[in-house]
Amino acid sequence: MSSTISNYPWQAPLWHDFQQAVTLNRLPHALLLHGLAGTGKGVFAKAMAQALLCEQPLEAMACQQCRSCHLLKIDHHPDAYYLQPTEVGKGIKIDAVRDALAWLALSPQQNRAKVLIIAPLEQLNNAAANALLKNLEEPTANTTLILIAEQPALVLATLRSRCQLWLMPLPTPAESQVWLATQGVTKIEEAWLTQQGPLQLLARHQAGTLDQQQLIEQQLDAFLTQKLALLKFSKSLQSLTTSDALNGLQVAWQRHITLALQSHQQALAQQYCEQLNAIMHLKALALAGANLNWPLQWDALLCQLKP
Amino acid sequence: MKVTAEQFHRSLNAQPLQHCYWLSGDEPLQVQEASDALRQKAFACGFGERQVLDVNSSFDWPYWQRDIHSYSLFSSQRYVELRLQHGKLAEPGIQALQQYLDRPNPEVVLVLCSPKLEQHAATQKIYTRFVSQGIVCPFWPLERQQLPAWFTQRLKREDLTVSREGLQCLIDFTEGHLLAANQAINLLTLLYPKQALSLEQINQALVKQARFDVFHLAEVFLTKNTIRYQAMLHSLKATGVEPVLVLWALVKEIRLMLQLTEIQATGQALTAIWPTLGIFDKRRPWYQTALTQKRDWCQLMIQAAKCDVVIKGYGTGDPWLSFSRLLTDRN
Repeated sequence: MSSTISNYPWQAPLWHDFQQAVTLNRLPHALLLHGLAGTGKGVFAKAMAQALLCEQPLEAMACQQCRSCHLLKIDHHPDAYYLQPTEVGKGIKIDAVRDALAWLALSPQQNRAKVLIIAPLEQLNNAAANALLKNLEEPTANTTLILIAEQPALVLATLRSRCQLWLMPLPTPAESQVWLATQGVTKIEEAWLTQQGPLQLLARHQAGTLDQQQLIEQQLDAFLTQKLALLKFSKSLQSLTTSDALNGLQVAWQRHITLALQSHQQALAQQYCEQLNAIMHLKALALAGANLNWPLQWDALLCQLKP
Repeated sequence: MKVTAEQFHRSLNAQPLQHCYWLSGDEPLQVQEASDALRQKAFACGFGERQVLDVNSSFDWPYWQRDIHSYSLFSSQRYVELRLQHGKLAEPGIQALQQYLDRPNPEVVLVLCSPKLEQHAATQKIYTRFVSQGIVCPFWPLERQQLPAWFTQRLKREDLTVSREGLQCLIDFTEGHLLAANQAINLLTLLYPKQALSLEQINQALVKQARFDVFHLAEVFLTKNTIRYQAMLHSLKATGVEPVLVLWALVKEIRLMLQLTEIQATGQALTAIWPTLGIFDKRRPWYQTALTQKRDWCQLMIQAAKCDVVIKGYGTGDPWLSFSRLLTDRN
């Protein structure tokens, strides 16, 4: 197994599938790799690209020695193309897609194949997704498109249906805890592990924003018992990054649902579920890179969550 | 001396001409009429030559300084009008004017016309020099309550009379746009000289020219004046105002109302709160009215957030329609 992949044990089954597909020559021309944030989709995609472009692969495994492998390691391989937003939250524009398509039309420079990686796919706007569609319908030879998405439901349906969907599994909470412990992260609550991959938790640990989760839950409790004013809570949410705040709220809200179910308060649980919908709707908009008026959105969300 | 618009017109005939004047205001008609009156007075006093100079960033102040002190070829006395593009003078202009005011030319009347003074412009030294050496008059846009008196006075001058409905109609058609209001009166004078005007005559003669900006929305939104709210939205849309701005103005008020209802729920007295929320005396009655209406501000906030999603292109619908619905739905 590739050295990078072996770092992430939960990716092993999927990697095995990939190897089989390559040896049987059954790799689809476009595969949509999806899964929760922090499960290492990007790393996996790069490992696949490396294996596909390697000059002397062994059982669909990159040799890590050849020129091709070295070029890819420093992101300078002429036959690998990364299509991603130029700026965070700005989306992938149609011009960028057209450049990538022009590149796709050329024949490979180094060896037999070419790999195009698009991430995150949700941030393709409608026009850009449609431009890509034609190539998915009539793929160029020797090309593999690896598309990465957190929520494939947000991707244009016509585009999604042309790809093979590969799910990057979320490790079980126990597995995540073991892995995070090897990285030196110990204080992790199980609830957090059900909503985000260990890599994201590790990143947040390194950025020092892991305790925000606790902060959000404390503030949410205070808000629900009317000890914290709506606008104050909204202000404090604004100080976090959008995805952190949304994840935090989601985890906290799911905990509320579980508690309500455990105490047999069906009606309450149902109400919580509807409110969770509002959180998830905002999360989808954030994933799609919508440039929303976040202070307003937080206020409105809290108005919906208000007891 | 700093004077109000009324004082300015009253004192103009009573007092001799000053060396310098500074007329400022965003409503063009007011500044225009004031400078017209001033000019007529100056001509009557023998100022035979008039210079009008537009001051932009490339204005040649040194040349102007030499020119203002030279003798005119055509007349012994000159009326010099400087029209500023902004409500604030840049450094070269300040320097030049200050040097001029140190040693003004007795044969010259200097008049500055500018838009509304920008922040801190009134504390600039040059402005205080104008106050002490000449006459400074800021013109403020007329509020809706002031319009009836304004119209009545003008109509009386033209020997026209209107009913109360007619007056209301005139105001509705031209609110926020004094130039249009003045034109409307001129038009009516020409069409129906010295008559009592009927509502139909006014309706036929005029077209809607009322102008609003997003700040006008607050009052009608809070006091739930649905008809005026819709008319304003219509006018804002027609003048090409961005929906984002409208939403911003509305959300500001909704947020304030949320805060106020929260404070009210705790039983705190509102009188102590107004200054901390930055609500001026003039606006307080609006919020008080809104507080008595028992509207669901949370629901309005949620609707506003939906408008935001629509504006950013991630939802279906028309933002302007959503704005209209903020007042028409149960809220």
